[in-house]
Amino acid sequence: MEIDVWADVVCPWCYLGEERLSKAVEQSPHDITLNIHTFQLDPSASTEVMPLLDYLGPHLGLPPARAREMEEGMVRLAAADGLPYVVDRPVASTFDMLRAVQFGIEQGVGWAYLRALQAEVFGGNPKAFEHDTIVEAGEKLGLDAGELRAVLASDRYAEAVRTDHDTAIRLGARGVPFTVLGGRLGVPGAVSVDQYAAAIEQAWEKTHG
Amino acid sequence: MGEDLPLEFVDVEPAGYCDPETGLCLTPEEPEEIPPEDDGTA
Repeated sequence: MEIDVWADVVCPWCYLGEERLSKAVEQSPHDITLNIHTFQLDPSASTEVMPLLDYLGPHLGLPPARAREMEEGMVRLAAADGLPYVVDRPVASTFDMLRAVQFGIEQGVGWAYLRALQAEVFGGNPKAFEHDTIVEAGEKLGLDAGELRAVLASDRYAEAVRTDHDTAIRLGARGVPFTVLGGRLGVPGAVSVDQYAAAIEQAWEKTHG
Repeated sequence: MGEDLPLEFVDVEPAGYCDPETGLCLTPEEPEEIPPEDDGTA
């Protein structure tokens, strides 16, 4: 069964949701393939890297102290899932990252590549958005560095990023991450490992029952 | 994937999600602030 997930690199709940979904898939007796699709949450975000809290406060209309408090809540939730989560991390437009992920999808490593880039961002790497970092993360997955640099230096895969975004909206995504199991069952947002496991069973019944 | 089939959605409240329209990320499971108790003097 195919499971399709729409996510962004900087989306905290995508980061946690993918980890939980991965665990549910590992526990499942069924033969499952995970497919990643990109979803750029803030197409208006600047390419200039800034500290997350400087972006988040005005974006959410919250004082910096409250934005930090919310992020510290996410630190605790991520830790419960065994994931590092740094509050003082950089943020910028993810468009180039997502174009690179689209190249990774074409090469069969899209899921791992998006997660590797999330690890750079949520791990607090101040250079997470630099092309060198994006290329190095791809190289570790076997992607060709020269090809990746050519992608990043061009507008290749821009249309694929926009198409993925539009597809999620057309399918009725009310929350990101947006997961579609077996092409039949939608899960908007991130749920628990047990709830993902139950959704896998429900979708399996629909497609194989 | 079978994009032409209508999707059914799970009846589960997400632990958290980012709004695809606004990009804002929300955590419904965060404990909400408890409003002050009504002491009946209003």
